[in-house]
Amino acid sequence: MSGEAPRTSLYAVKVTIGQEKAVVEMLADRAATEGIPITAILSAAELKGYIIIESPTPHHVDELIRGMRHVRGRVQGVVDYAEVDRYLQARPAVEGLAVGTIVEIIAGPFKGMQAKVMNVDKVKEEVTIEILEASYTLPITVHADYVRPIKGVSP
Amino acid sequence: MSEKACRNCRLITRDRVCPNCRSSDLSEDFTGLLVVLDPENSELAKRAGIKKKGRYALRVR
Ligand SMILES: [Zn+2]
Repeated sequence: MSGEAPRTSLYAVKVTIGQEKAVVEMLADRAATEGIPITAILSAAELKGYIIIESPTPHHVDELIRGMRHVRGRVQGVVDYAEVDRYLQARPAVEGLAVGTIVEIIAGPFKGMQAKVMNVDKVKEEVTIEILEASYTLPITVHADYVRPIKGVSP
Repeated sequence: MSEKACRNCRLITRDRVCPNCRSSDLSEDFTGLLVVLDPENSELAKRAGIKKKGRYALRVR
């Protein structure tokens, strides 16, 4: 039935940084072999040191993580589904980027600098940008994941 | 073969063709991991548009 409230909740579990995916795999194996009712387990690149477990009850999450390597414990309370939506949707990387958009570079050697979008390649998911702080204009092409539109600055 | 993720359905596989959707558009460049154990009752799977059990990437380049 559509529109029905989910019968599961999301629980955050603190884990060793760098071991998020490994823990997800181990817990998924355990849930399957021991028949613990866990519906899904997630590790997002942006969520360092935590994984998200979906289950009907926190009790089953505690049962699942008990004694497991690299697990540091469950965070009290539940995580809102809306909070994890942005990790789930295969949103195009170029969304929100257009010619003239002012962006911040979030990775690579120019990290932290502001730039102006000169061209958007939707197929390759690349943008050509010009760094604003540079004393000369040098267009560079980077993957769209490497830039983020700056809020409140419109072209 | 190393693991790749399907650009179409995001399933992670070692095969040359996605066993889920038969696409051969696979990528080694992927991040995130979503293991769906019970697709019928998983709200995460529903929100991610996933209908089958399995291991999925969250983002595939
Ligand atoms: Zn596929």
